[in-house]
Amino acid sequence: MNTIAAEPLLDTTEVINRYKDMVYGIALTHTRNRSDAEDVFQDVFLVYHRKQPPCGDEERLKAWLITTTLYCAKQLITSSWRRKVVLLHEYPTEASSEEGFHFRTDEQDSVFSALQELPRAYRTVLHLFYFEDMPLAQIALALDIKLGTVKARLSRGRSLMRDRLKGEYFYA
Amino acid sequence: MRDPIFQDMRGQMKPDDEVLDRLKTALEADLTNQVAEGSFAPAPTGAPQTAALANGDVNPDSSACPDGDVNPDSSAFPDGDVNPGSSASSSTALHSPVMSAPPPSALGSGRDRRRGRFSVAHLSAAAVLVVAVIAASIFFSGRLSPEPHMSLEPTTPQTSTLTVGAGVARAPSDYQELYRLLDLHRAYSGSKALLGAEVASDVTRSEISADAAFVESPQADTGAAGAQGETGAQGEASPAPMASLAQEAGEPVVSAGEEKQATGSYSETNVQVKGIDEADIIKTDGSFLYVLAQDELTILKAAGSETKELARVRFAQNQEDTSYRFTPQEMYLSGSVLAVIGARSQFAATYEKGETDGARDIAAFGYARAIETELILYDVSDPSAPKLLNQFSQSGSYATSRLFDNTLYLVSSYYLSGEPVSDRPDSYIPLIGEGEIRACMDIEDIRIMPDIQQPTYTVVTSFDLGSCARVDEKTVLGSAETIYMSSDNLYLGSSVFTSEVKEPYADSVYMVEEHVEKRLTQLIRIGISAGALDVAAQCVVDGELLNQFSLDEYAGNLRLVVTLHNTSYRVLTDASHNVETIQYDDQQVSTNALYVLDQSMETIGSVEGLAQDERIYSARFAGSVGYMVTYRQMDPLFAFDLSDPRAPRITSELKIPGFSTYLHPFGEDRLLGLGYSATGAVREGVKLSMFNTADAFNVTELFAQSVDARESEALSNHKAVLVDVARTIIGFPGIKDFGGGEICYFVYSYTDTGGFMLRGELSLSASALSWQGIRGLFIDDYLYVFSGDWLDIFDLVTLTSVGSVRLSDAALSASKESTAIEPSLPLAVD
Repeated sequence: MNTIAAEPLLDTTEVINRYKDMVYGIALTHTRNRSDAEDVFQDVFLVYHRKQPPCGDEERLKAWLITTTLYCAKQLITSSWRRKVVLLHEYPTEASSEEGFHFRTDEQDSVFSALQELPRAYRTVLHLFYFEDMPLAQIALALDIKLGTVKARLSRGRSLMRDRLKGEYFYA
Repeated sequence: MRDPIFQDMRGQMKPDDEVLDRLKTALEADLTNQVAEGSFAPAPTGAPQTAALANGDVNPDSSACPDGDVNPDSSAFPDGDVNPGSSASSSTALHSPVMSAPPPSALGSGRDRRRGRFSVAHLSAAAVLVVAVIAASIFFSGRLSPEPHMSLEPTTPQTSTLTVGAGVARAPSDYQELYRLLDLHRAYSGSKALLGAEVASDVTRSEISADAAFVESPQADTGAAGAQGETGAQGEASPAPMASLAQEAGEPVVSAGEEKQATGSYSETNVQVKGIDEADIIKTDGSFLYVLAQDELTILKAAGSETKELARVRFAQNQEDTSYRFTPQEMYLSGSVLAVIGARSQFAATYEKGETDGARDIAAFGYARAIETELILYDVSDPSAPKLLNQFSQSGSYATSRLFDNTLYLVSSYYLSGEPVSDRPDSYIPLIGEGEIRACMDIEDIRIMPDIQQPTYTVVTSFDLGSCARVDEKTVLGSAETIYMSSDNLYLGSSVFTSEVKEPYADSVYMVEEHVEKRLTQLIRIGISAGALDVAAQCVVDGELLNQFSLDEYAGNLRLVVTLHNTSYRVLTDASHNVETIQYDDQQVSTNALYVLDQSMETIGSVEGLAQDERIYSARFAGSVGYMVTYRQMDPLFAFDLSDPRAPRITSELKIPGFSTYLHPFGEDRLLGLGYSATGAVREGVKLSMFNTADAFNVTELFAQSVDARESEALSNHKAVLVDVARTIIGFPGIKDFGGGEICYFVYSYTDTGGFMLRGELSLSASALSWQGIRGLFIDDYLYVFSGDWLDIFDLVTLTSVGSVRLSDAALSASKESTAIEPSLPLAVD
């Protein structure tokens, strides 16, 4: 696989243009609010810019970006700053409307918040499958987990979502 | 896209242009910076560890100020940390091992667990699963009997309860055993790599050996950064810590020391077990009000419209010249002793600067693991001049506490976030302290739970408030989310998630993999006797607890209700056609069960298979009867007869729309339910129900009242409920459904003839109200409603406002004349 190194590096701007939505989406799914997602978004591309990881093909680049986004989101959420500060907007108050990310419809909002409540592993797989339209095999590759695990998480995650949404909406 | 809705949502998840601009600016700044350094390499690795420490903090900080100038250095992930894969370019694996190795570690799950508690208690276990999947395989699977099923037969308790180990949590032989365990856990969960940046490799600093047990530390030896987030979450917002059963007839339990002031009648904190007090943010003895507001303790003379502030305690630690901070969370009043419990945290800035505290380098060590719960005792025999009596601390964030018989039981949850260092027991053993002295807990006081889902200690200590001394301390390595205390025992319950994948087998063209997932509850019983703590027994039962009300002890037996969420599915793979199918076992829906356990934690009786496809929303035990509410579409209220612990049975099942999330015995033969009304599966506003429990075989709903509120803290925190049967007062805060979401205090009365009657929707003075932390209580003829920084006073009969007192700053403003007494404090700590 030494051919990777021979591939030309993508310009950071080009990478940003191509993957900004994907990185932002994953960051949003894995953080609690808009500004956290923005921080993660920024960190990911900064890291990319500094390291210029020699990702030969698109698929590997994508995988790198996904794992780095997940890592940065996790880093942020588990950072000591976050652990010692109570977020004002974690409570479901009206006041949260500014900070939180909101979709066009309530239904979409509740789907998203149900997604956010899922354990991280399920969230990642569901996000990649539904929002990034990635085939299962590619998800497995990107996350370096077995295909069976991807399927299990997808299916389990779906059922958790179903459980959660049944209570409020009729979305099945 | 899979579905139009996702496509639509995906389209909305886009970064703003502004964010892109900021990124570009940051990139440019980064470039300049690097050129200046003459290298494209990441931040110099020679940078001290403290720089790496700062990193983790800079990012979140920039989130606090949206137009945050992004420090280009802030993203300096230490090389090999974020993406070791990138340097190994010839490797095919581009993902960082951190991410790809066994799932994201205990770190994350700890955080998730705390967050889970914001929403629904039972979700907490779901969040733990990340680790559970692995942890289960190492620590658990070997011990899991293939039939982890509760049996109905009392004669075969061994198969019913998963008795792991010898029935008592294991005692470690020495500190090193704990070290090895924690180190292994850490290594396995992959957090070692993650923590690499946070944990210092400082070996030159003065060390604490196991023998030199006591260490003087003017700066809180291990510091106490970061307790606010966790303890705040656990103390207030969580639906889990709740309780109550007392107060049935509105007669406060007056302990010996309170007689002097108890002139008339007054309400006390709503608790689970009568006679066992629970901490809260406001306490009264009938004459004075003690309030925790704005990180200060305010003492007021309760006198209706003449209510005025007597004293205000700014905790000494919060002075500007101290580097640590005390955030009060809850308190108790026992006689003339006021016990304030809170989080002690070190200012992060101290660490970031790499300051040293004499011989020790704080930054090097304390940062990652500094969380302490502190108990401060004041003598309030003269309420206008409280005197500091003593202060105690213990590692971990505040979980819960109880006060029984003038003995205070304090439980903290110590999550080991730093890396254990073999020759420094204080890096992996909880510390307890008095004043500013800290010591590692004795090895004899430590137990190890058989199944450790994450490196968390549950630290339990007891204090005699009479002599202001610590009586006993015990710690269990293992987390505890649900904590219940009776007069004889303290029970710690923690969720355990197990996942089994059976050996794949071939079925025609398919390879079939069977997965079974279960949630279990690990329970540990700690006997309490005048403060002495005895880790006595433990067990594992199927299912998950909701909150402290799911547990109850009566006549020496523990009764509990759980929801079982076992799921199984099959993954069918047809390799030749590259087709995969997942088959869900639709028969496996959630069910609920009630178990009765004896003192050795063996199951002696059970009722299973209740309310298929529903989960528990509330539970309450009252002597030999128990009630449980489950919900999916309709609200079955189950009544149990528990008079024979070996043969519990359902006596009644009432189906009504909506569901109750809190049940409160309301005098003789009545049960008050607070919950939501619902049409089918659609949840609506807040609802009150009164059940007639006179006939255990035919529980009926006498009255239902929908409240003009869409949400109320009372539904998730029993301490926000004010119930007095004698005066028929039912008070609780709520967010009004109409009228702009105003937050009001609702007062209802109830009579058997007229049902519920709205007596008032009281507007509160505080401008920026949080919907949590509002408490109502009455003393004699007045109702006091505390809401953040205001105390509103109402006439208890007419419910008209007679005054209000502002608590937030020294300048008192009140609608009635009241004078501020400048606090003759600070109460400096020696």
